[in-house]
Amino acid sequence: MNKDNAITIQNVSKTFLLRDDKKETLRSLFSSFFNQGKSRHFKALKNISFEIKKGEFVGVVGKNGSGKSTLLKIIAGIYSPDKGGKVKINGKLVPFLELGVGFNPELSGKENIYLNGTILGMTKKFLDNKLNDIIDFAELREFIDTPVKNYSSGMVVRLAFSIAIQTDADVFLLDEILAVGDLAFQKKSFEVIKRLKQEQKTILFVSHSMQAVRDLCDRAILIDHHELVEDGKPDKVTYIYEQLFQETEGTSKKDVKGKEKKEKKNDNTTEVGAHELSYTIGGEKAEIISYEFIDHTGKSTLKLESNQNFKFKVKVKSNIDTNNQMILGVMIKDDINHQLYGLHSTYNLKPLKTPPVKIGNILEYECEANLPLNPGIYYVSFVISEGLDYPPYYQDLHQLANFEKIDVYYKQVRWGKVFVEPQFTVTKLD
Amino acid sequence: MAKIIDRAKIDLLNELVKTSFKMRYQNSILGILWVLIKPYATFLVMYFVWSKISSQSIENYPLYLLIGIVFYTYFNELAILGQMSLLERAHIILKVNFPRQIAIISALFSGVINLFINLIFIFIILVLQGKEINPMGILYVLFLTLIIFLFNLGLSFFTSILTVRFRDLKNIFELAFFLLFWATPIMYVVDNSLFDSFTAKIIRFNPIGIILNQVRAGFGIYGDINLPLMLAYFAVSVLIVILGWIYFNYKVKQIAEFF
Repeated sequence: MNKDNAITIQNVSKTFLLRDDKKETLRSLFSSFFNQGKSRHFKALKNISFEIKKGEFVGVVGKNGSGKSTLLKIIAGIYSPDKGGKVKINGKLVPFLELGVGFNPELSGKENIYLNGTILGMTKKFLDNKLNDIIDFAELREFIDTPVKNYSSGMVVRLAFSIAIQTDADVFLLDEILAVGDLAFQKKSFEVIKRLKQEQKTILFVSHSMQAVRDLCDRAILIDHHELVEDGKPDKVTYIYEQLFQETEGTSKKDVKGKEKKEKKNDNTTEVGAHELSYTIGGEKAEIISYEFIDHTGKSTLKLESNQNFKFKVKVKSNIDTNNQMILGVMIKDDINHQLYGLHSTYNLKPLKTPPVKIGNILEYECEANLPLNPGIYYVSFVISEGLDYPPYYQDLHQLANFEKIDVYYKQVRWGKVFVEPQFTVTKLD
Repeated sequence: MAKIIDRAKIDLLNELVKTSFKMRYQNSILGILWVLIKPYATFLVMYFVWSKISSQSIENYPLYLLIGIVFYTYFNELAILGQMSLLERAHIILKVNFPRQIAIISALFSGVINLFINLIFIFIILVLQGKEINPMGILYVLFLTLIIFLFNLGLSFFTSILTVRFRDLKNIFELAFFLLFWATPIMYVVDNSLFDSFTAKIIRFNPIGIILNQVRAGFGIYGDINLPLMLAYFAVSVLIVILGWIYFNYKVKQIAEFF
């Protein structure tokens, strides 16, 4: 086996015996002895093989129930693979499959640091040295002698994360642990993960945030229906992953399309004014309540001219009080669902600062930009996120998944999708 | 092969023992006194009942009875704690691949701590009664304590895994220890005034009874020290630990699936 590999997985399968009536008592053991066939085999993983080099940062993506967690548990040594499968780890491995394992609510924060730390394989001396770092990182100095049962859930998670990241290991398994804490803590957590990356640690990272996978990972692996279906660049793998969802969401999407068509019929022109929305993700903490496109002549329309300035206006209603930034994102895709370009209210040369908002406040965003697209049909989607100064430290609050269709025209035929105004010159050379 | 004993494992053991000790008496007013209340309450009831119904006259009977209760409780506690140790740590075992042997050893240590608290009181009583304390005898008692520990450690390597699969074993063990209590010379002495010769033979053969009598001999309360027999017990216990260790390491890889 290759010495540069941190993790080598060869032909790993995992079969669980599902017992409809669990053999927990001797009586059921005897009854099932005479009545076999009650148990079923369930293949949680089918013949997975891959290698991870030292210093690689690999994202593992897949739907719930696809087998990601089983894979991580096998790598962590909690489950053993079926016969024939091999798992080889080079160096010290630390699994963070769940934060705060063994936390005892009756003990103080400090006592839990020692308990959880030793369970994760640290020595007492090591923890003595790191104690202050852990308490400071968790921002719990005042409460460190208070029993953990009196902590808020956010405090518990902060403490648990702060202990876990102290571990001195070569290989880290991170399962969804970046989704913990509030935004400020998430930002800190990201910085720690980036530091681990700089230190050339090997990291296997399970996440449902494709943004995080794209931003952090060098490589991604997609597990679907218990098999490894894709292994490669994060952009490509996360794209395939997102496509999986669009397939499964087909039914709900149809409804929306039906609705859209109905609306279009009532209002047969392409001039629609502020558009009512029907199909969305999120929307509890903030809502995009309307949007509108305005062409270079100042008319509200979905028909825009290529290479001209256009404007869009988006109204967002906040259902929370926050001092954080409310970031508006716009994505423009072509008719075969390729992302062409995204705009972000923080991409301004001088990033846009949004004022603090209270429940019920409405923010109106306006953006003027050149339309660098050739004639054709394009789709636009919006997302409002709550965040700190710049990505990736944000949470999507409301996403409009029904892309608005815009129709781009031009007085001449153009080839391709991108509008470039050429400056050809010609000289006769003799 | 990785080191079986290293600093991190010792520290983990330490933390687990400390935590379970703290937890056992958390939020209780009498706290650690409960370690003493249980055996002494049992002692008082048995002493009262036995002195009313029995015609056996046993030299140093109060100490004979007390040592019997304390060491039987020690044996019983180790067996039950060890047996339940994996089940009780299920939430950790499913999440972290920490050395599982430590779950067993830390559980047994709780029983050892309880024994030592009780031993302190036995010493106080011995001194108050003006009994001579023989250092060699005390060393012998500690050796017997070690034998009981090793025997139960080896046993727990088997029972902890089997109990995860067959929960009935918990009830079976509890019943067995309850019955064994009466089949062990704790409040009586095995003689022909109490039993017919056949029953007496069987009870004399009970290894727990034999080791209890050796503990009493170590304290200079009853009977004579039989070192060769106890060395044999020691050897058997070590053998059980080795066999248990092999079985445990073979089976423990699958344990997370059985919960």
